[in-house]
Amino acid sequence: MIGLFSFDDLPRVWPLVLGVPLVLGVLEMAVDKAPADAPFLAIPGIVGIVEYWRSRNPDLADPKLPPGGIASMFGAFALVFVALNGVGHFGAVDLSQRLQAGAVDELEGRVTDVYEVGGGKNECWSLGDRRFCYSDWVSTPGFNRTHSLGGPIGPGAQVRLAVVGDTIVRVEVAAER
Amino acid sequence: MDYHLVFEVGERIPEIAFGVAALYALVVSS
Repeated sequence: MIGLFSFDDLPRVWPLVLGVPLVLGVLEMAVDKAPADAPFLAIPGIVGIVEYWRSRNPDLADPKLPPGGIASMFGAFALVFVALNGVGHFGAVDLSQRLQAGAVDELEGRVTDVYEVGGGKNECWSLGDRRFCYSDWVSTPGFNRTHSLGGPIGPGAQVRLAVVGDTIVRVEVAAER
Repeated sequence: MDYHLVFEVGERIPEIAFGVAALYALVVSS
């Protein structure tokens, strides 16, 4: 609301506008164990450092840009990113209740027919007659950590899954011997 | 066979709170 009714005030509080999504984003990343999100948070972080540096050196200020303007803009984008990523996991509550109640399908076996597009874009594999596909870049409450970004499921892995429809709600991997 | 847990959907629930907090901050600031 500050931005709508008093836009000039927003750049003045840029450390807040940029700091809130950075803190929330780091917390999300820690909970999700998703280091792949780091570059998305590093960019606004670097912008914050540059903005701070500029504020300490008035000679570097661009007369066309209000102080804190760029940092506020990146802060707003970071807020959208963090908000969509977090709210996209809303279905986890219902899925977790179903898992606790045992209303899931349990599958066990060896992973076969692995198909992967690098960089976490897409990964598919089969377990028995079921096929699962997911991407690191889609916000979903289910399992979506691809092997190329440190995921635990690779070709030939022995796994035990709990699934609801096509959503994987629990993953267990056999210990290496 | 011994299995170890690597993912459970419940661990995603705290992320919803962070997302809602960001959404609130977005509404307040925009």
